[in-house]
Amino acid sequence: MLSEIIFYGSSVALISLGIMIVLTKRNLIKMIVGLSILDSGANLFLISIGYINGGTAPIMNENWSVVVDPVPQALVLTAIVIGVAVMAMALAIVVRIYEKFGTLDIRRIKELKW
Amino acid sequence: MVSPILIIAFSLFAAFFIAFFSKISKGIGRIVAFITVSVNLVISIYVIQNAMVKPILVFTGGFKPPFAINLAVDQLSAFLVLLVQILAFCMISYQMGKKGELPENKFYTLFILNVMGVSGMMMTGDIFNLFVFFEITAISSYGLVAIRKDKAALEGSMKYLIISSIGSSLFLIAIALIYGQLGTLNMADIAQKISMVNGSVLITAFLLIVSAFFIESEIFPFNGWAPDAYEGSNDTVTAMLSGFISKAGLYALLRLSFIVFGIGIKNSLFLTFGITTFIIAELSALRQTRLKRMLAYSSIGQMGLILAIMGIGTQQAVFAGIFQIFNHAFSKAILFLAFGYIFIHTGWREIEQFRGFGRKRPFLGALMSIAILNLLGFPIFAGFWSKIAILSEVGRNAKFLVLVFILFAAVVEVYYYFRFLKISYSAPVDDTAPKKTNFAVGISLTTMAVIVIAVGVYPSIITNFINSAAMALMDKAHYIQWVLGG
Repeated sequence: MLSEIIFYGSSVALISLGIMIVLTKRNLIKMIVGLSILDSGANLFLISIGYINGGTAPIMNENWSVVVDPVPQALVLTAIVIGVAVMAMALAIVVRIYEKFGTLDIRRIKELKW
Repeated sequence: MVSPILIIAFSLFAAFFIAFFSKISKGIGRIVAFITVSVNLVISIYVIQNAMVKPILVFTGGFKPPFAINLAVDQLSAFLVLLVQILAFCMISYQMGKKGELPENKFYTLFILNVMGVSGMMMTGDIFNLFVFFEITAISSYGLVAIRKDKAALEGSMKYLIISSIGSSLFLIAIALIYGQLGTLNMADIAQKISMVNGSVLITAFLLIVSAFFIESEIFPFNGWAPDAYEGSNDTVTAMLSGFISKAGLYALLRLSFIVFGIGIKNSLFLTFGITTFIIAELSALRQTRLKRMLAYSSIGQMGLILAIMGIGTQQAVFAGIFQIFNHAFSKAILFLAFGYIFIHTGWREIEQFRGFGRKRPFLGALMSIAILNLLGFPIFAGFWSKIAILSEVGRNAKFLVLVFILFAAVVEVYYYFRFLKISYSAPVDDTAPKKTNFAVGISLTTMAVIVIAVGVYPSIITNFINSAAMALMDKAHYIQWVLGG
């Protein structure tokens, strides 16, 4: 019971922290760090759903009794890979933005404005 | 029997083939991309023929649903996939015709991946697979928007990336909530067991999904990225964003809310947000001086109109919405591609610079006029039938306030489009020499214009498909039955 509270509590904390960073920071690198934290929070939430206290890895042998749900683990692996791809894409664009604009401050990146 | 999974397999193969061989041959991208898109078009024609008789279920690994990952292609999916492939074919022809400065092989790799992601989103029957295809579409779109690597493109792409990544994380959380309650990821299985979900969890998951896909389908207030990404991106990419990437987000939203969740709150939610988007976007379009940004706001407004009409929730309303998806996709593809072609040759950006353009380049002027009149719903164009269907369905359900709002925004839309037409057909003041239109570009734009007029004159060639698609979207019990029982 305690472990569930820790897992769910910290995933909610990470998700809120990530969204807060993206919304309040003005530096592109910090915003991307926020996205990364948000992603980790979502992954932690997904993996906590399949977790059973005292469960072992879902490998079939003679002495297994309680195993955790393997599906969320497979999902989280996929989600982590996708998250890494998004981070790589974001950082590549940020490098280009720094080359062109000479700044990472979003208040000074205003090419498009109506 | 041609399996719809071939579209995904073949596109993935071709995309990485181009990436692998791009160092050896510079021209390989356009050839492979053209072949891939043509093959996809042929496959999707087979798929819609089969799906009209009986929905197609493809599953992997030898397990039946709900255990295996599956593709569930019903009439709605097949119709939209065919629409995407026709548009992709026209865009590839356009792209081959113009001499662009962008890195070609990278563009074609991303283009094919994007078309694959969109088709996958429309065909999958598994909610986590939907997330994966959604991310493939999104990541390749970030790359496509930024491909020109100038200031505007990078800024548009960055805004799109940040907002859309938040959306995909929200969607992942919603999947986790549903999985935690039901222990299944198959959409039909979730739909069957949805009444077992705790009420507050259901609403939370639904609202998370709605926010995630409102971002992708450019619904106010989640659409801050859209005008910038449209304006920053390259011509073909803008047509893709408007033509099918936003439609894929809308499709996922409709599939999840009509078939999987099926809760009543969706109707008023869609109606409110759709009408708000329609009015705000059209009023924003009115005050634009740049043509591309005006078209971008008009595109957002049309997405709002489609969402609002879906919110009425009757089968006729869904029919009208799908018809409007078809019209909007073709009209905006013509407009953005024609604008992009003119922009490359003249550098015109402001609406005022188009003064007299319709007289000097009558071919492109006529195509743009056809697209605009189709979008506004004039007779002999396909848009007429969808506008009629929308207005009569809103009237029949006695939603007169909605009718007033729709008519108001439509009048605004007519006003700024006619202002543009009037400028483009007034006496020429600028005398840059008119250039001839490239053959492939002309063919590609004319094909889309001919489709629009053909459907306008003989609407029966398409209403049959749209009717079955609307029926497929409304009939939840049938979806569950054919996925799980077949």
